[in-house]
Amino acid sequence: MTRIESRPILAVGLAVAILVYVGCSRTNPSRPSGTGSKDVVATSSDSATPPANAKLFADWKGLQGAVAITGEMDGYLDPCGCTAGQLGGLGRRYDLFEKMQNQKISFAKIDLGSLTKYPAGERGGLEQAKVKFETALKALESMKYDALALSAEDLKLGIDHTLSVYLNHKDQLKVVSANAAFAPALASAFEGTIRESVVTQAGPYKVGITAVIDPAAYDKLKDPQRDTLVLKPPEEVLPALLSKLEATTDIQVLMVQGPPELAKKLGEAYPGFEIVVSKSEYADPMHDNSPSQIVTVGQKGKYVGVVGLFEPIKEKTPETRFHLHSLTAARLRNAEPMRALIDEEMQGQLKTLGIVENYVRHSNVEAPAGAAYVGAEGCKSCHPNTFARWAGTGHARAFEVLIHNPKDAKRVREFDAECISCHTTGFTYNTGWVSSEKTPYLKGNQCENCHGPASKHVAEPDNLKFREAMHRPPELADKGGMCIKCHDEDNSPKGFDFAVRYGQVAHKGMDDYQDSRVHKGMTPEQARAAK
Amino acid sequence: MMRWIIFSVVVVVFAGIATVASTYFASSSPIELVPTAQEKPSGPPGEVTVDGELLHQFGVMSQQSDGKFEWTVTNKGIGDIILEKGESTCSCTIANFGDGHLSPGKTTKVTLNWNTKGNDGKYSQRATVLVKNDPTKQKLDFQVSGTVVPPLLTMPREPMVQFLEIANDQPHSREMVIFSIDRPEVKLTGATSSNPALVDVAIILLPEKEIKILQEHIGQVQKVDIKKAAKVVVTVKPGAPLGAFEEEVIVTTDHPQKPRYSLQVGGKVTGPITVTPERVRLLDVASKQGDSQTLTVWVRDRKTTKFTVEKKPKDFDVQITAVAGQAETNARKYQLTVKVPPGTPPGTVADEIILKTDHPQASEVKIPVAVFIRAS
Repeated sequence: MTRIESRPILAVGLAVAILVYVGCSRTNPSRPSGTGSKDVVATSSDSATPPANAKLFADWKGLQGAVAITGEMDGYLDPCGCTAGQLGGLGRRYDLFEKMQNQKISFAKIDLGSLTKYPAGERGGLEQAKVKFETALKALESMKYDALALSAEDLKLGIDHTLSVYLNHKDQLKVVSANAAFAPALASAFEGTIRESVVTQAGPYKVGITAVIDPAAYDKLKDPQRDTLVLKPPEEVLPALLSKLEATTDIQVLMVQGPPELAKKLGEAYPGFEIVVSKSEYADPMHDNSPSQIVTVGQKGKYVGVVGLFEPIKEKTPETRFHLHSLTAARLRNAEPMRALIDEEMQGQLKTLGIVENYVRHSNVEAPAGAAYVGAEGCKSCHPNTFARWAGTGHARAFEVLIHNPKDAKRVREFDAECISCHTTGFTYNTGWVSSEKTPYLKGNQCENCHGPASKHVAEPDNLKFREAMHRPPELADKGGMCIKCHDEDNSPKGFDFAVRYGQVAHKGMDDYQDSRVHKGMTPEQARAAK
Repeated sequence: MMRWIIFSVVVVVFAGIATVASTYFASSSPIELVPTAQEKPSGPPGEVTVDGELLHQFGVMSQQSDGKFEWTVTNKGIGDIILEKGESTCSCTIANFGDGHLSPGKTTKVTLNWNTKGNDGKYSQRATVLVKNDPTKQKLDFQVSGTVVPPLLTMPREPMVQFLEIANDQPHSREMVIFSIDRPEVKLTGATSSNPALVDVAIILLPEKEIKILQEHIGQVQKVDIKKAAKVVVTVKPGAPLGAFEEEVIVTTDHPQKPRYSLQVGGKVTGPITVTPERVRLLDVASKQGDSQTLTVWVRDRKTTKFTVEKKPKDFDVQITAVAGQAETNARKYQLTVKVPPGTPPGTVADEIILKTDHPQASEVKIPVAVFIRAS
């Protein structure tokens, strides 16, 4: 009989147990636990977030410093639009910078400007655009930006307004323009508000940063305060400035606030600028990571361009490599400081200032004179089946999701005119949405957003003129842009097919009007109370 | 026995080293912000090729239309290739390409769809396909670009008529030219203002000479043959009440894709004195440190105006001074400095500053104040 030696078995058993333990406890930090190999590659729709200690630029061997470039945020403090899967947002930008800092990457941060685009035409109106602009400046300050280029778009808030805001931020944020200066009479009052250039450090390198604004773009501003600034052609100021920067810095950066052709022209004329930041022709720039003097970072703040600085091959100028980073939820978090700034501080300001309540309203051109908004409850008693159909749609819950966001409870937008414009009824019109207290019957996207204010029709249901004024044939809804003004590129990014979506809300012939009571006129109050 | 113990210790040590090493190398792999397939190839390598350029130009497209382009992808290598969907820009979709498995010598189609929706102008869209088991390529960036032309175009391009600040002692007009490229003879059939008492609107056909200029201007970008164009003239009448205004003008047209065109009209009617920013807004002041804000006061049509601070929030310091060195013009700027001194008690200040002036048309100027002072 063979004698079984127990100690070697125990030893091997112990080793196996340790192996099993070690093997099981090892967590691959590059992927969420429990995922298979197919999940390794994140896509824009992924919700998994990489660990904070994952290394950036691992393939950039010998990286010594970097310049992070942003610009053309165009008013998008949050990821573009209100639906999932969108790129951009200050929160993710902050997170990216924080990750770079945590990995001891020394980098400069510059912004091309155009924090806003058409402020007067923004969905939330000019006053809200001003609050958003100041919030954006605060965000850049908190991210410790080294330079912000002066832009014609940002001056569209009103030249004096924007410059006065810059004046009040001049100690925290450096606004740069080499070819724009205050008129001599104002120079001392606004001293230090606009700088010719800025010098900062990125790793071992001194980075000289300047910017120019296209004088033609400035001239197009129809602003009576245009004489506040005096502009020179970029070609008049750049040669001397470039020489000065070349003598004192290792790498020179030029931001061009003008058409891309101007950036190209200036880049060719002044090759001493190793990096020329140009405005983008496209919201999503071509994904070319090859080294180039001209750098674009797209529009709507969706991307951050990073120029890596490496050991110089010859002379003192560092070698460069470029990478365009998409700001996606898959890889970046909405950093808390930015969330607090936008969700709490800015929303608090919008509430305090009463941006929604005090919005300057006007008449609805297509409605009968004097017609007022009644609310869907006022339609219900005569159109019960139509009402029931609407009540089952997302349109009816549109306001609810603004204050109880199912995806993010902290994201409350009750006082944000941009959001209110599509989530309530009659906003921007006289007698339309004002607030939950004053117009509770206009919550959500109701009947009158398409059909117009109904009080005249409610008062005289058989008046054919009033009835006709509320008629909305599908072709008008489609070609008149009634749906896509909210279901636009940003807010229905994966497409809005009118033929499909109209079918989901169409309600022709759902009610009959045999009951004599439906032909009796009512006041809006009576209509809302009627059963 | 000792040999068994040594063997088990060696196994454990090796396992530990391997685990630590693999953890280290995994943690130093990049966060690929542009994702790439990260798996190491196994077996013989594949070689992915695409017929033609990865960038396809759709050219000029109208709004609400679909663009679709198909590429043929071939595996010219000796091993299998796996294709997976990667990231795509907001509004671009890429059609499925089977299970993504591509044997040597086989081809598959990659289709990229894009709907122009309500876009206007140049666009570029991208969809990435991740490639596994090709040592030379980790991804393919399929791109489309082109220009979307809306049914009606305007000059200037901004989608609103903006007056910024205007005085109410005379009428002020802005013009917007409207024309169509896909329907060169488009007619503007009418225009209605939301407030005819304040905003007047008229349609004027553009004379041939001006159409030519317009055509030359647009022709720099694309070839066009504009037959008709009209300008919408929006006038804010004199006597408008002070303050901001927002109105709407609806223009009707005979363009089947755009029967109505809504123009937002906005601005601010001001008196002879303007303050920018319009209000004092300091919403995060530390009581201990205090804070300040400077506003610019602009007086139109007057060399010198005397200001006195009639009312201000308690504890605040308010000074107004003329900007020195201004030329003897008929417009003059002043700086109003509002200081919240250190030690001002915490709380919310919703008040106003009233400046008395000797200006004959504006005896006082009111500036709203919104300040929040926190304790720490």
